[in-house]
Amino acid sequence: MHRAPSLSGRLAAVAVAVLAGFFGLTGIVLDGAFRQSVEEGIRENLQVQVYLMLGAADVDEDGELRMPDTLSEPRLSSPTSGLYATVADTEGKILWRSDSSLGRDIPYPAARISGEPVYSLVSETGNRKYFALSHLVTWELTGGGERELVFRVAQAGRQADAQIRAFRRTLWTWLVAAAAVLLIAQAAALHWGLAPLRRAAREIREIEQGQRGRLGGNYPKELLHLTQNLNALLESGASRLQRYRDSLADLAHSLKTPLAVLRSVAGEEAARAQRGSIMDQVERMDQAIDYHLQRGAAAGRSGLSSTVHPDAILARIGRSLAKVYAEKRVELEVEIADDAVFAGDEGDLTEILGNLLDNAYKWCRERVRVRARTAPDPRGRRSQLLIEIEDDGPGIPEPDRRAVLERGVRTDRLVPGQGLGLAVVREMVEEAYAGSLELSDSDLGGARIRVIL
Amino acid sequence: MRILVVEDEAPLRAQIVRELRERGHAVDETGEGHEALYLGNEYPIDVVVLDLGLPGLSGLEILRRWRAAGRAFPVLILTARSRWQEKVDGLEAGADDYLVKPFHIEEVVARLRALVRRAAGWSRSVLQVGEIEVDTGPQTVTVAGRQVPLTAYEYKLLEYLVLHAGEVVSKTELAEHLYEEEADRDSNVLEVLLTRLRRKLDPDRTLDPIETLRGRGYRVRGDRQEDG
Repeated sequence: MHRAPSLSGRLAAVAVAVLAGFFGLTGIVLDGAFRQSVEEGIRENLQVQVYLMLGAADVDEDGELRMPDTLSEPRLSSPTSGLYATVADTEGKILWRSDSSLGRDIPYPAARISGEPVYSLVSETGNRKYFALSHLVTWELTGGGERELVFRVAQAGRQADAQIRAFRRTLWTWLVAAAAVLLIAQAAALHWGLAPLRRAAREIREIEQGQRGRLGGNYPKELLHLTQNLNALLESGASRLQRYRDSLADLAHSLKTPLAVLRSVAGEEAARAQRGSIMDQVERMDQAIDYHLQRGAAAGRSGLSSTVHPDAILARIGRSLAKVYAEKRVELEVEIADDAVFAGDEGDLTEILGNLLDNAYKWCRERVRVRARTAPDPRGRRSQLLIEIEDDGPGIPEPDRRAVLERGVRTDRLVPGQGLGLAVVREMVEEAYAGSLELSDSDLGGARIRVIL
Repeated sequence: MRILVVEDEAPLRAQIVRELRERGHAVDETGEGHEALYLGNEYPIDVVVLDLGLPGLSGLEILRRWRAAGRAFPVLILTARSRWQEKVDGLEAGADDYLVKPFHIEEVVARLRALVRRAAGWSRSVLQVGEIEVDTGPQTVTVAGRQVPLTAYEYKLLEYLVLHAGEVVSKTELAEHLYEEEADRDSNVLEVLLTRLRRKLDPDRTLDPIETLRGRGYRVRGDRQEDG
């Protein structure tokens, strides 16, 4: 079955998506802004270089350019400095070049309008990148006339790239660190915020395992309504069952006492003639009450069934039967596996074990054995409880077994006792717990009753 | 044997009481919880028939209070409910046996007899002391293998003494456990009864099975024989 993603999974997914989007966009915007400011800085620097060159340059009356041997900017003299300069005429013929630019053919942008420098990122063949600035200057010659010169300065792109790379490294390191911190904070908030839900789930599990009867209080107000209602439901279920049992028991009481009177009156002289038929009717009514009481009062298994350990119940029943059958001095052997638990109602298990053990005590000579362990459920849902009750009595012969398990046949008429018989126990096991009850022979010599619940 | 019957359903109680009296038992009866508590605490009761479904003070509560007060007499509980939970609750509260309504009166009598016998330390239904053998089932007595016919009162007297074989039973105790009303407890009647019983048990005056301890009471001579 496809399971819906968990609440914390959903919230975590949303948090991760939002953080990734936010920090991703922030990073891209900051990165772009920084690149722009770096390029702007280079442009200003190049412009300054152009002005310095203009200051150093001179043009004679013939329009011939004169540049000093050394410029004040030392980088223009070093071939590895990354700063290059040339002066060309409007046709592109180079009139002067700095020492650093020897051997380089930088594709400067063309400047056509005087006083409007053109700035762009250009690539030399061989893929070297340069930030280049071309500045057209119109020189008024002393002898009249004009001379147009293009002052061109370029800076290698590698420095700017290194700068941008360093910035990016720092930027993304901090962004990722901030995202991580926020995610951790978010996870902590989630953990804290969902704690009441986890607690509720744990408490429900404990109810199922029979370790507690109701959910605790002190839940946040969003959950309080839910937990209070759940508690009310648990309580009303339990009290409805109790009411149900009480009313059945009251019904039995109101019928049984008159039955007892009827039975004793029927024994008197005057009624002697009809005694047999009166007694038969009394017996039938009595059995009907027991039967319906037993079936109606069985709690069965519900969704939130708790689990019961059979040890304590067996011990109580054993002590009780030891009193009732004190004459027989029955030796009761009990072997219960540690993992043997019954998923169902304690009263029902008491009823089933009580009736079966009562039968065993009634029929045994001196030994009764009870074994309990878990059995894997063939449908693989929850594991089942397997109980075997054996005695060393006469046993139940093969041909009688079916009849013994049918309602209306009482095999306990011969021996005094109030056991309801195996048939009622079988119906309870099958109807309320979808279990089974089988009869076989015990190695103790008597009957073995195997119940799977 | 003195029996307290606690049952709120008057016709049923009357029936039980009548049947028990017909069998020669001293019976105290009540249908009310507090009176039951009082009778159990104050009277020399041998065994109790207690209905669990009493109005007011419940049978279980009475039982717990008796046990808390140290009253050790055996108790047979009667219940209309056949659920095991209730039987176990009753037995753990101090009951010794239970019967589910409706029941046969013979069943009640047999259970009470067995409870009294067990409470006196006998595990078998045949009580044997020296040469005397009392079979509590059919209520017959043999001395050295010879059947001795006894009246109901003679039998009750002997049974009480044999149940408490080895103990000294005072005349007052005997009277209290055999008769309901104080007016009936004429010590002469008891002595006459005892004399008759002795003559029947020991016509040749060779065994002297019931010895008289002057000023203290009576005792059955001989040892209990349990595994005969």
